[in-house]
Amino acid sequence: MTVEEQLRAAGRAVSDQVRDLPDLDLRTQPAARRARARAFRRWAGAGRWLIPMAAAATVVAVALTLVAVKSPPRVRPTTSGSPAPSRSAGPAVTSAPVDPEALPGYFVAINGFEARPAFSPGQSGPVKAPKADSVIVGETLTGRRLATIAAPAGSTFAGVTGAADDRTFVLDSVQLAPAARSGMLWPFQPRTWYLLRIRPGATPVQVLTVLHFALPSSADVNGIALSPDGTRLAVFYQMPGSTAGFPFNGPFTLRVYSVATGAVLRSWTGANPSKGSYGYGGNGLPDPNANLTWTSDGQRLAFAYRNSVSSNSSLYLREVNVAGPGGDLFADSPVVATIGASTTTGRYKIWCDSLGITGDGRSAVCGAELPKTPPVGATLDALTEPSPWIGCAGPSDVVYPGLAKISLAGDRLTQVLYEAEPKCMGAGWASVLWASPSGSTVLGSVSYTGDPSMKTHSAMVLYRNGTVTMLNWPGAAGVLLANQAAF
Amino acid sequence: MRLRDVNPPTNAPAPPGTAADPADQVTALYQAHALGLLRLAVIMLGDRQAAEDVVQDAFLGLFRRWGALNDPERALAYVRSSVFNGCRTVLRKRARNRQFVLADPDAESAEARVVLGEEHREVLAALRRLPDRQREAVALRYCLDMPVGEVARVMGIAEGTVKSAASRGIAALGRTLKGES
Repeated sequence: MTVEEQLRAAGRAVSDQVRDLPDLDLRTQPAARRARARAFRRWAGAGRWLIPMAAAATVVAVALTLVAVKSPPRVRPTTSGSPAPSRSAGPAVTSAPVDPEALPGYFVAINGFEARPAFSPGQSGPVKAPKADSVIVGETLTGRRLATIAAPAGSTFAGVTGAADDRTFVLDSVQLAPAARSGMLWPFQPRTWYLLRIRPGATPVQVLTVLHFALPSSADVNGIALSPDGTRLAVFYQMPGSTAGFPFNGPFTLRVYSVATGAVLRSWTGANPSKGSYGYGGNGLPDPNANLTWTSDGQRLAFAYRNSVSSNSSLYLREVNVAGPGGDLFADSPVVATIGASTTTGRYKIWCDSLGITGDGRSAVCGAELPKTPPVGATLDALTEPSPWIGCAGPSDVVYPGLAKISLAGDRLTQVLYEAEPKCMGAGWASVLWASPSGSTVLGSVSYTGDPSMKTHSAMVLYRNGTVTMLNWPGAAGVLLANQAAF
Repeated sequence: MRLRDVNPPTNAPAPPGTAADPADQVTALYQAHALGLLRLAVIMLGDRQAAEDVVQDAFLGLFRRWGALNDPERALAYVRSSVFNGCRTVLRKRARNRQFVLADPDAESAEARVVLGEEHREVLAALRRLPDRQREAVALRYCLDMPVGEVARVMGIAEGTVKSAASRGIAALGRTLKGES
């Protein structure tokens, strides 16, 4: 190899590794004076990481000793096998993120979910297509795939959630029904859970370990969320009740499991005949009922909740104190935010297709449907004026998809982070996929259909400290939902 | 569907040259060009953190001098020059430190040692020992695969100067690498 070829190869290697940028801080001081502050931050970061790293190590060790691996998924690394790049604010070879506000470097997403057919409420029978979904591990900023994990034989991956470290994920796989049932995905088919660890610089990038969580048979899992430190898994599910098909009408349960042992650490249960679940967003569109979010300290766990067959269709963000008393899902979960809807007309000022709490516990982030002039500063109670118009024929207002921030103090819309405003659109929807603890960085997917073409337009939107960037994920699916993509 | 089909965000920074806020303009410039400059600085320095500092300082300097820029179109040229100067400063500091420190003064970060293969580290380490102009010409021409004309424009020198600097740099690298092997 000539010197020129060596230089070009080295340049490509550097380009492969340097794919993200730190935020530009124009208020900062020059580097010479920044050095001391950075040294301090590194120590603080390292210290902060000792706990989750130790916990993760314990998890892996315990899982390895307690769990027998049966039919492990096939792992197929991608082309180059090159080391994974660093998180945007941290060095590539350390597994500890430096800045909790920084965008995670990796995503883990279920592949193939875009092929799912529409599902009508009240429909009885299978809720998802018979396609076995694999899982892809990739880079957040570029969408580049680092690895593909095929589903275990006869199963499909159905859900994914991640810890705050950008390295630890839990996968939910469900066994496909036998051919006699058309191979469909039913909630009462056996599930298998996996711990997925990403190892920067290693080949393969990922390590999988089987986990055991004792969910009741036939539990229809609505949402999952791994605690920020990766030690606990929250699962929200509904039991069938008296109905044979969907939606179920049995009791809802929110459980917190130990990742290391599978033990149930906390459980809240409540019945609500006015609500039915549809699994992980069964119609392929964002569903706030699937949203489970933790605060950064792992003490508070929020779940979005909406009646589906009641005159009150308001959306509530409820919150349980993991260390607090009580086991009643509704009595022991105060409402911390409300997206009001009129009980007579169903009208609302804004709607949230996804709704979760920020890590600092002060705000909610909303994958929103917004009017042209969003009511920033207003409380989000029910709308008394006519509904925003949907479609190009509308004389004035249209609902646009976007990302918004809501203060938990007073249910006020505090900020519109992004709003798509195409000239002409039909329906729009949006989903928050990841938010930093303060909500200063939010990653979401925004989609709308053209009118009258009905062509779907989608974008991955990154809001970072007042600046919006569109991420170009090659081949990205039109819709990414909570529980189907984790960061 | 294509992501760019969605309208640009309403609060995205205005392009340079408009009457928008300087912070917005510098931020827009940063988003458009900083990644390439960061890669260049990493090649020059072998240290991601030092490279980020150099690039950050270059844009910070641009922001502070924005009002004094006669032509905002010159902003990119200014910031490129700042990155070149910043890298030279870092390399000179390292060279000075070597005179007083017996151990290797971390000329290359632990990150670079692991992330880049041995063969890449070796050639880039040799590159860093070249004189400034040769190093920059070689890095732009070969590591970043820029055409000669583009390198000349970026460095603000004639194409002939680029060719001669790069040629001498390649020859020196060949000798260095041959000697090391």
